[in-house]
Amino acid sequence: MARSKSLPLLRSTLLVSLLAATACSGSGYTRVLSVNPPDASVFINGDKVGQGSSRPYTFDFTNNERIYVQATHPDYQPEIEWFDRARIEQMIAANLDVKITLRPR
Amino acid sequence: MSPTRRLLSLSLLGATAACGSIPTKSFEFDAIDAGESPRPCLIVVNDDWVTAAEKNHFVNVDDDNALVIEMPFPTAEVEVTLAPVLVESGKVTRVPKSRKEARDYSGFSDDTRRLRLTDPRRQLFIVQRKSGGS
Repeated sequence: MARSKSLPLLRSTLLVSLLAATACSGSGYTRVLSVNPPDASVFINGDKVGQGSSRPYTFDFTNNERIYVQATHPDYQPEIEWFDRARIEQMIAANLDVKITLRPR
Repeated sequence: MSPTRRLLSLSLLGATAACGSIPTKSFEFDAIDAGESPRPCLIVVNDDWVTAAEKNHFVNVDDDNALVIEMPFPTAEVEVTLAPVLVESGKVTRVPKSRKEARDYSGFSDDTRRLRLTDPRRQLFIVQRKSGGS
């Protein structure tokens, strides 16, 4: 009897531990990243990752406390945005994606 | 002086030096224009234009080459200025001594970034033409 009573508690403890382990695993924060216009080139931490169409991107702060995203297009002004863990967490809490809109030159 | 005392003094000296030393980090700088072509530029750290020129802190002058600088961080942030330059036959036509000079002479806008020790190693600048320029 005592065993069956402790089962839900054990299950909850395991679930909380699992969630905590996932949160601390260092796998980063995944957000949808998009740039307007969609054919703009996107660079993350100085490396080109492709064009601006929507894509999930994992912001991993294991090696750097800040990550920067740049977008450029010959007909628009280039933009740069810096992200740290706090900013990404705020965006996740507000369910906001990462959107960069370039201004025409 | 006894060996133990000497060892203790050396350890203390070593610890003091370690704690008092300025942290450094190696950064790689590069610059492109809006069309993603390499742009020749001068990289200026903490507004020290003389040292930048003396140490040839240029990128993309004779080829598509980035520049690696070992940067000390006496403060939490270090200011890095990207000054566009013009190149003819693989040589910089005029080494700017200020942001305004770089801007006026090259026709491209300068850019400034405040870097931290924990920032990504590769720092790419995307240079844009001065507004009203060709």
